[in-house]
Amino acid sequence: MSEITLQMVVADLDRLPALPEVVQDLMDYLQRPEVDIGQVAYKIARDPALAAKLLRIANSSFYGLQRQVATIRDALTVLGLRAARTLVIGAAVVTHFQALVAVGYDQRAFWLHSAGTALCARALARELGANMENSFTAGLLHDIGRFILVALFPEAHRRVMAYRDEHDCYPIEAEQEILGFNHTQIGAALAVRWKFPAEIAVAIAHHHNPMDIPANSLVDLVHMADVMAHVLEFSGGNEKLVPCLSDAAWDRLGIGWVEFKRLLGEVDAQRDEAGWMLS
Amino acid sequence: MIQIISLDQILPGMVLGEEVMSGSNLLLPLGTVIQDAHIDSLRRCGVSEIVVLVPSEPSTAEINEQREVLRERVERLFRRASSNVTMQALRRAVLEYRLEKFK
Repeated sequence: MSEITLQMVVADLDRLPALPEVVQDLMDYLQRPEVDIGQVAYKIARDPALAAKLLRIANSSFYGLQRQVATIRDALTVLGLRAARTLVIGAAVVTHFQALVAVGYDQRAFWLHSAGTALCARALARELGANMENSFTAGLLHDIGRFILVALFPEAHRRVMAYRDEHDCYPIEAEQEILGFNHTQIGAALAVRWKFPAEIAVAIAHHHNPMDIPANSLVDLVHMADVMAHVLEFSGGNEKLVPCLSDAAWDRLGIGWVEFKRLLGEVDAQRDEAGWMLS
Repeated sequence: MIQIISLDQILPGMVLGEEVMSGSNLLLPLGTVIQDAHIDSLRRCGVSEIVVLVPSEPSTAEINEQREVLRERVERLFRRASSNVTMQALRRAVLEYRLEKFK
């Protein structure tokens, strides 16, 4: 049984198929202070899977459009370019990783929880007046490190799961026990390597320990969204546990329990969107 | 469950719980979904009362059983939760949410 280290996983990130050139190009272009909407639409249209996902997000009931948007250009106008930037990153990464096959792992459950967390994060952001698209994307990618572990080191991941099943503990505890590091560190390394917005990298890195860092609204928000998505059981599974909600994050977010229950209801009503975001 | 109601109380969509006879003639068979035209013809035939099906309400015991299933599900999700105040408040809010939704 070979031991693996965080350094080995990070070094192996290069073994993952690179983000398609189209996406890389698009992400670079969207970093510019001034961008042309026609150019962005053109770049997105070069990747049909990405274009389809973006249209689906723009047409989701959340944005409450009077009519369906049919073109990328319309979708960008509806969402705004700033919003589109983070959504493009999220949609691109999910599309990209969905193509990887991890034998013996319930990928659908993983992505349903990720998409559910994205929906929760967006609802929380609207409630709190935070940036909805950054929140959505951070929610979508918060556990990406776990998927990378499964894809690159399936054997190590199996040992983690065996430990989890034996002790019925939180998955992050099993990772820490077996590997000596956890999925948040892997995810953060990927976020840096692939030049995600810094805010999103920080949220991925600290979504399990918001209390250990100075107040950061996106970290608190993704932490809470992860809890909500588990409460709403997007992925199902009898072994699942609701993660420990941090007092510090809860107090800083300043939501009451009545509002919390209302938000659960809001996301519950959008539940189907998680499934078709992945299709 | 069935219930006898007067013709005045009948509404389209109700389902007959017993056939309607006029003397030895069958007017409407058991299970007919009542439409406006039926009500008119029943009236013309001088029918004053009919038997309709009433959807059965779940019993208190059944409701309690379902609530217990919800409670157990929430307990399962929170089986490793610490006793800290926020986590326990979360558990209560989640249980309340599920019970309210079930109502």
